[in-house]
Amino acid sequence: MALAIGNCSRANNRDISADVIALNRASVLGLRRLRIGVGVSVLAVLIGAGAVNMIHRSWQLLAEAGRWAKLDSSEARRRSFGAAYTSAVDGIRRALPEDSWYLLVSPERTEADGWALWVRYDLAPRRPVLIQARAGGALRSPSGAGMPKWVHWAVLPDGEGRPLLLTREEALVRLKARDRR
Amino acid sequence: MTLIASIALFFGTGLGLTLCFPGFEKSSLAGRAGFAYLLGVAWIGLFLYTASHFGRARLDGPLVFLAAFLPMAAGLGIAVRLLILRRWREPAVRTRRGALQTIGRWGLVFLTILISSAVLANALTHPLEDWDGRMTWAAQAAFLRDAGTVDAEILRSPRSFISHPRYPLLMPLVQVAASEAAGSDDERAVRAVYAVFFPALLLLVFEAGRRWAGSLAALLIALLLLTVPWIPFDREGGATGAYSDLPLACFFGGGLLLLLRGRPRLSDGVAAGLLLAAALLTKNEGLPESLTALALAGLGAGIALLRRRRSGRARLLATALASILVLGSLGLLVSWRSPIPNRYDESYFETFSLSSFAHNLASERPFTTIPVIASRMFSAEAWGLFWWLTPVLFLVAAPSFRRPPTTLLAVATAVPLLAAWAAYAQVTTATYYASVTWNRILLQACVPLFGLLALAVKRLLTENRDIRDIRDNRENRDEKSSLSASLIVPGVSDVPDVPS
Repeated sequence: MALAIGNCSRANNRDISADVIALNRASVLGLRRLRIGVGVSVLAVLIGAGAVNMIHRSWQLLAEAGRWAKLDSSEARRRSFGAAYTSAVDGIRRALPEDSWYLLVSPERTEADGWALWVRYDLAPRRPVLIQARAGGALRSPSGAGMPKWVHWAVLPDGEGRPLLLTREEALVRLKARDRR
Repeated sequence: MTLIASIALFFGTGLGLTLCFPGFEKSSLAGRAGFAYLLGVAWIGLFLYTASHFGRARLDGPLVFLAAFLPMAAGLGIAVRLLILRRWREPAVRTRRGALQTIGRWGLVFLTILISSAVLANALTHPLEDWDGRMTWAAQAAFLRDAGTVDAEILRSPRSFISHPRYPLLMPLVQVAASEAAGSDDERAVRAVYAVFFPALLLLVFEAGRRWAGSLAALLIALLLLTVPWIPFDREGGATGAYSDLPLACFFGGGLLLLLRGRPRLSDGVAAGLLLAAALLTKNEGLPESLTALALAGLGAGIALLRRRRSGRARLLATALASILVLGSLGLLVSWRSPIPNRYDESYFETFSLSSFAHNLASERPFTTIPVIASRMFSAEAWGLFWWLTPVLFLVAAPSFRRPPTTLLAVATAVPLLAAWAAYAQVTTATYYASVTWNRILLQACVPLFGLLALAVKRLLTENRDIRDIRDNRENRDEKSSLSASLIVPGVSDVPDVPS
């Protein structure tokens, strides 16, 4: 009798442990399925939504390029940077030899510092020496050195942001007049 | 048409080099095309830099032609020899793909062509309008081309107004070569060279994914890369500008990929050395990134040698060859830079001291950049949903860090980010610098980052397959047990077992 009870309880235990293992396996499997589901959904959303956005933006860029394709290089520059600015730059490029040095006078407003960088690129390979107006009306390079006397040309902004080519003396007169104002 | 000549110059040169380097026989056609463009740019840039600085050769059309002619002629010779000996690689046997994978492949091809065409069309029709391109890289190129040397007077004269005069000049030299090939000053020829870096990066990421995680994971991460708008479309760092970050990302990633091959050949070491040397001469960040790639490759070789793997020696030799080229380019950079007085620059290192650096690093200054960094990464305009959702992907399918490429790729991804963090600690306007540089730093870490993503996607795919196998096995078992149950006849004990 006791033997029969013992056998029966051992069989029950075996059944229970098999059930626990199966349950564990199922829960681990369920967790793995959940992780895979989340991962695949993330990939699908990223690729699906992203592809639609990229097709739209590429199409916009291609359409714009189609409109610009007929323009030659100088016309494209004119449209990007404005006719007045581009004409002023082209005029200076014609007047100033490529191997010459010039004083590049930065505008008064500090937020317009980009102006000097833009003009320097457009006039390259002409060689610039940067000049800034200091307190008291002195004109100095950022390192504090004075205006070099061997440079005969100066480029400075007119009132509307266009570069203006003047001789050194003309530029000094103009800058002093500006300071007086 | 002449505007495209610049692209043909670099691609043809690089194709010649990939034929000279037998290691590329193992690469896919896509990977080979990507590497061809990068190697062409790297070779011509390095050749012009070295010939101009050490050889005092004039930077002009004939020198550019010579730079391109040598690898093109060698590559042509090897191609003819392979054709005569009929050793041309047979086309791979086509494996059957599922419908979803076929759609994915066509989707990848379609998106790649569409986006690359849009970027190239923009480059070929619009003038240069981006900030750093006009301020530094293209301006330097104009000065170098006029002077005919990398040691131009304007760089060395302390009075001249040049932004970042000590920045390495590989990309301005590439611009000079592009202008010479196009035979004009039209800046659109130069812009086209930068535009092609986008498909090159994509092919590199695809090749990295294929190498480390298989072709399906490679396909998925290449599609993921194509969904990030910032990389192809942004003017201030992406492929529609003339910033040097995209070329740097390609050179660093390409060098790393070649050196982390299971058993690299000597030619892989030379190719990786060319790419890492180009990285070093592209931007200041190229130095820590190249050294990191070499250190990781050396570590991998050391571990393989300790474990007595046969690949250890090959990896060590490849790393040594790459190191020689990188050290050579470092020597070139130091020699070229030393007579140039620094000005119009952030001057990180002029006020540098170890104690102030340690103090700044522990201060709250770099941490003030966190909101800016978050705003950059979570901008839908720049990154789409990428940074919102990829962390979830890593959370559910983090690749095992016990496997070698994962740890190495994680370190390679972290290095540019940590270098930027350290730089933010050094400058007083840290938030401003973070706002203008963080996206570009992420781009520099792009190839190892997408390599990690490929490993995560691979894990996802493997687990999915395992579960499918378990389900199939269970269904088979159930079928068999029901079959055997139906065959059991009560009272008959000699029913044969159903073969398993």
